[in-house]
Amino acid sequence: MIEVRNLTKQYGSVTAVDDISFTVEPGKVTGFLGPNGAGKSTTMRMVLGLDRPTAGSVLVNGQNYRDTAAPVHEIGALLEAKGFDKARSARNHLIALAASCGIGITRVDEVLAMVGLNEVARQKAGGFSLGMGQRLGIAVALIGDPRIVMLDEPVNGLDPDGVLWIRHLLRELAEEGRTVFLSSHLMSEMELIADQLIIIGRGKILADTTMSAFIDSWSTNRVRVVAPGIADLEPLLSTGSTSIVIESSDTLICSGIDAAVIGQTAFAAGIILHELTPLSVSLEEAFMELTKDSVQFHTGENAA
Amino acid sequence: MSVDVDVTFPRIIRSEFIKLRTLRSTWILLGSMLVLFIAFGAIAALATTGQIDDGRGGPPAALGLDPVTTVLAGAGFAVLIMSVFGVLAGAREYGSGMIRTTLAFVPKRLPVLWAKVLVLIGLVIPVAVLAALGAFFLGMAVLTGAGEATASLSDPDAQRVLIGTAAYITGLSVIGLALGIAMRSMPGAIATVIGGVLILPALLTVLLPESWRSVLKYLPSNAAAPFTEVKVRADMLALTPGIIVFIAWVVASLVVAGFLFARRDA
Repeated sequence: MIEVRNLTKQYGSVTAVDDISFTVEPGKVTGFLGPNGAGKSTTMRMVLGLDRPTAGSVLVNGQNYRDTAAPVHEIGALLEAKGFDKARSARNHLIALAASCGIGITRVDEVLAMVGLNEVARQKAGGFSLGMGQRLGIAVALIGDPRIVMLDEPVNGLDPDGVLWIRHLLRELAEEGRTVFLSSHLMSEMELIADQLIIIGRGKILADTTMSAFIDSWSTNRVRVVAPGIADLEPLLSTGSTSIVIESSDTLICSGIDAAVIGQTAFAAGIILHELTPLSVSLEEAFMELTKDSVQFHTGENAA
Repeated sequence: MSVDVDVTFPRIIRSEFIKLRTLRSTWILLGSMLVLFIAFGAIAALATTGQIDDGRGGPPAALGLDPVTTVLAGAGFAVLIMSVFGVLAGAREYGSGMIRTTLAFVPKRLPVLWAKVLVLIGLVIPVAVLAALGAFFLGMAVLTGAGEATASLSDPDAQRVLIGTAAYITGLSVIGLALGIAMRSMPGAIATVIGGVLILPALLTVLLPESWRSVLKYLPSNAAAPFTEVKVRADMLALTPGIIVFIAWVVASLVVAGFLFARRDA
């Protein structure tokens, strides 16, 4: 379990993480989603005590991470795909790290096989592809049999096989009762992997909900209505839970109302419809919508 | 897995030892220090005896040093190489990002620094002692063969300078490590340890007026003079103050590195 309480991190005048609180629970895969620069990595570094919070605190299984007797048994983390010395072999990298907590070579070879690097374990890690580097990072994360597995953008650079493999692995780890916390900037990836969703943008939590609740809340059907007599139609539709956005002089976007009901209402009032289109929102769009104000690096014409 | 995976100080030391042991550069630097230290001593001894000449048939000028100084001619190289080795032991993990992996495994930071220092000292001292003794015996053998004046290991001056030189080499490697940690950059720390600690004091000592000596003698390389040079110089510190001041430099560099390492974001 990771408990983040009122966590803030400022770098000079820039607030990377702004008073956020959330809890990552065991037995589930929790996705930490946000655009690049939203504060995901900074938050994860503070969980590990690598960066010192400007304010607030993080508890790892009820303790400050620095005060744990067996840190590797509490959290296994992958923070950067290239967090190793290029000149050292993958196996020696693991042996050196594992020695700091008394883990021996048998376990090193075990995790190397688990991540599929046993054949290249004696090669210099500097020659690894990004995907192999990620696998080595995952081996590092798993070596201490941790209660929490925390991975920053783990699917980056993995081939489709690797992506599938990591999905199964994370699912398994969660089913074993571990806390699984992973970040991504891709909603499509989270959709397939996460039970719980924490969305961050510009250092603030924008959503903290289950994946299914998030899907439900964004899949409320919206309907686009185009009609010349829109001014007459609008008051007829705006009842109860329906919300209406007037897009132009002849276009409405309605939500909370069925297309069939709109058609019926228009017909009964003798209003001609030119268009009646149900609109569905993909999760990717929902995520974009939610974070559009908090994206640091817009592309093209939207450049900030 | 219900085995004991607690982080303990002996385990951190082991981890840091494996890290250095598994880098080829460690063995290249230690090996080249050993070879150059001994080889330069032998070459200097040959030059003194006229077995190497200056191309005009005579022995090179400006020799005629005492035998211990002659055979330890390679000490300067050894100091240079081991300072770089120290920097590497301190800063290399910052270059790769490995430091964050290390600190994820061992989140209490100061034990990591002390372990790095102990492993460095443990590697440098034996090689430095071996190199100094090797240079001494090979050099003296060359001098004996040519019938030149020699010194024996029982000579108190020889003992002082041999032990002192090995200690100086080790101390500067530790300062290199401290600078590497403090500056988090190999080029920066190498430039600082070579330029600031080895070259600048010597340069200032030559360039500044005599009256500055009272201050300059406290700089690390000058403070080491009473235990690395055979001739005791009047303008330098006496032996005991020299040892104390040099140790103070090493300790101060570690205090600064430890303070920054413990407080800074990794």
